[in-house]
Amino acid sequence: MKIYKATASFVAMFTIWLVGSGKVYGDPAPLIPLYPDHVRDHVERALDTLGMTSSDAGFEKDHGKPLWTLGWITNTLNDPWQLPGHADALYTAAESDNPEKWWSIGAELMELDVGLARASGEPHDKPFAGWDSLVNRFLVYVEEIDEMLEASFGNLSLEDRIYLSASILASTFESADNEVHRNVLLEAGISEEALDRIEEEARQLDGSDASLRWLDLVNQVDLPGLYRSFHLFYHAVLNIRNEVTAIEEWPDSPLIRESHWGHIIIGTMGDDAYEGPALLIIDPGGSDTYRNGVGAANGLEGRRMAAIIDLGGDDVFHEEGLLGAGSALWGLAVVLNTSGDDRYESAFVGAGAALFGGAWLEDFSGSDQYRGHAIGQGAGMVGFGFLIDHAGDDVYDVGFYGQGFAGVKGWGMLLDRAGNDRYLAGNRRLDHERNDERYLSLSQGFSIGMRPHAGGGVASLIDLSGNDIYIGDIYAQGVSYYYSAGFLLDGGGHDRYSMYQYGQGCGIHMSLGLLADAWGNDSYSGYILAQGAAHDYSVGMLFDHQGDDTYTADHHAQGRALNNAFALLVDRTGNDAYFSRQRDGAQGIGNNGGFRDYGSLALLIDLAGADIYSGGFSNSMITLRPLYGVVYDYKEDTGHE
Amino acid sequence: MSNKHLGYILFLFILFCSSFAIARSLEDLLYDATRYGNTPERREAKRVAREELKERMPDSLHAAMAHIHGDRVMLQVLVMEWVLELPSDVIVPALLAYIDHDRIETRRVAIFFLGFHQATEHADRLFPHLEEEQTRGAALRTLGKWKVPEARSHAEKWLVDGGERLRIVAANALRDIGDTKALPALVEAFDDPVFTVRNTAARAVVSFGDEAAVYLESMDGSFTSTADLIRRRCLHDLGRLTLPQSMDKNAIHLDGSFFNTQ
Repeated sequence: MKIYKATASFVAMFTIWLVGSGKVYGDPAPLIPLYPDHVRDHVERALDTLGMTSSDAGFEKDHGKPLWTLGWITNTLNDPWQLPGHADALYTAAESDNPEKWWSIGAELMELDVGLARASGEPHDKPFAGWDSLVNRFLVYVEEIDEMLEASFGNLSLEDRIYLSASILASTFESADNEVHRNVLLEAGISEEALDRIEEEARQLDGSDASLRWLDLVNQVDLPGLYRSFHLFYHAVLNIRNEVTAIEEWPDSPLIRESHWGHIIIGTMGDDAYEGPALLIIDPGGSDTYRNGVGAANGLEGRRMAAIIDLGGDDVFHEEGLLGAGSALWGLAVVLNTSGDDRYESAFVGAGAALFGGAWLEDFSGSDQYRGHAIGQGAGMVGFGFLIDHAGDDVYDVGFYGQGFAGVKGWGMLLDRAGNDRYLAGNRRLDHERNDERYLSLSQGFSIGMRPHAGGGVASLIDLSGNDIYIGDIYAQGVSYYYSAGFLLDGGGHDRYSMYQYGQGCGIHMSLGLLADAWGNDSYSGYILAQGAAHDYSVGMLFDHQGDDTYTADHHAQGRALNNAFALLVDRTGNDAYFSRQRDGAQGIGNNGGFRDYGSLALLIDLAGADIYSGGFSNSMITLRPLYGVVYDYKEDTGHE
Repeated sequence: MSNKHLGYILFLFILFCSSFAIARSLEDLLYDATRYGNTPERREAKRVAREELKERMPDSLHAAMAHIHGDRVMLQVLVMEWVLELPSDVIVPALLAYIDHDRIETRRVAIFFLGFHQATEHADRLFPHLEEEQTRGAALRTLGKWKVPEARSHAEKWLVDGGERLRIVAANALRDIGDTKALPALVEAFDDPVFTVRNTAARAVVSFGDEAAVYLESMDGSFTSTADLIRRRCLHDLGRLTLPQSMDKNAIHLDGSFFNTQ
């Protein structure tokens, strides 16, 4: 009996120590569902203390009425509780090892009425029967896809396409002020006339006419058709990859076959150097280099498709021109890289980035480095950009518009499935007139619309595991601007999130932003409008399920809703610390909406642990805050405290 | 005419012409003043343009209002800055010129901006805009800011019949007008389906001070649970009710004034 009591006492003490030290919280929590019933119950109780119900979060936010937007984004503004469900769907697809799920979620969230079954239902599972046979079969697909692309781009003339390209690229790379960048655009097929026209339009005090003309042209792009052709091209390339994987005998020197759509090159087991555009490169191994337009599609120059299949080696993809490997302008690009520690370097656009097209870059193993200036690493504007990295400790470095970025009618997804990864976005373009010495990031699950005329798209940065570091500056980490949606979903690990303004689950101007982290002792560092924050009829959410987390900000953070917005921060377990310099500007608080003169809804929900609040809020207390918010710190009543 | 005279006339002519050359168009100045200042030169041009635009009031304001309907957000921000900074004798006459403009967006903006200046003598010109759906909110807000008593009945009507934002505007207008006869209508709004309206009505009630407290206390027991919660929080903010500060687990505490009417 004494032994039993002593053992029980030891177990009890040990348990208290473990829980008290924050070391053990049971099995790692899965990320989804983000908003299960027991959390919903607490949120409803918190709302009840405010004299509200869940439906109150649906106060009117759709005041922009853009000419084009995704319907679900508008619906979610008006019913914010749909947002966690959309994140669940996104993460479920990402977690699956089935690329068709990724394609499907892209179509679903971009509201594309597409039938994708045909391509996926017709795999090339035939044994290798020689290069001619393989190439001929591939070209049959290419011909069909080319026709599909032409149909997707509708009646847009080459001049229209150049103008539309210039409209995005001139401002992105500030070609009016940078002669080098201007020349790069000219070399990529953008005309002087188009750049001049863009500069002239920018001088208008009212740009509505030009914007509406732009939108009218963009609307002529058949996005579902483009997506179908992209899907078919991906499968055409994937089937080749699957077929050639088993080949043991490769040529001693590269084989080159001409086609109407560009070269098809079969590489060697050695260290090959590829330069210049090609329709398809198949390389079996060796540490190869790819330069000068390889793996990039540029429809303005008659190269609508480009693909690379690399089966091994530590490869370098280096591009000084506009389009790096795995990028597409009025076309489609697919890069499948099976193994090796690879480097993807783009002086401008690259690595799963598409403008008026589709781009897919998938790297299956190795610790890789991705570097680019802008529009890269899972970025799409009037198009679809996928970057999928399956393994390794990877480094992602982009100036802006990357790492899960979407513009108007865009889809951008960066999916990293494993490894301790580092994400850096910034250090290229200063945030003039707002934070003069800081940099725009516009990345890491960031989407933006064309205010006031059109909404943006869907951007997501999804990292399934590992101890990851996310560094941004202005607009980063699950954030969006104007009828758009930005997600950062992290499946686990001890992660560090750092940015300055607008991010970490933040919606700005009628928009949706969400950051979710499953487990680990995470740290969130920001300054303004961060960590479950929203401004101007927007919705911002941050979910952290497990771990001893630290939240640090100056103001407008940690469940802060500003100017008639809805903000939510839910931290389920762990001994957490919430620090903010300005007590009246953070932690479950709204404001009076400026000249609009009415409140917001802000919830800071912490469901367990011994927590610290710089605002002085108590554990196990529900504190109602002005205009209108709550710090809901809940502790289960165990009856023996 | 002597050569001397000819030379003098020529000098005056050149001076006259150069004065036109130096004076930049207001559109150019507005462009510089609202352009993204991503270089030191543009930021300096912006500073210079903004100074000159202010010196050329009210012409600058007229030029800006000619484009205010457009998509240049920074132009709207600039005009807002002028409206908040410049005196009424500059702003009001200029804005009045646009309250019957052909473009509904221009009318709405002009009416809204007028609410930042006291110009009650022009209230009659705003009432017709209450009849038009897209200018109704701006007109009601401005009439409230001008404390026009005749606007109360309109506000009470739209507090019930308006869309969400109009109901909010109506509640704020009733607060601004400051007539305690609006208390019943505002208290009715404690049962509005949306908290934005309920709580805006509550803020308005709290702003009436002691009279509101007396009114709310007199109605004890005749509220729905939601409305009663709002009523009690109003009384708390009015200093008439001390809510118990329980230290029990998961008890509810108020962090200062809930409706924050300061």
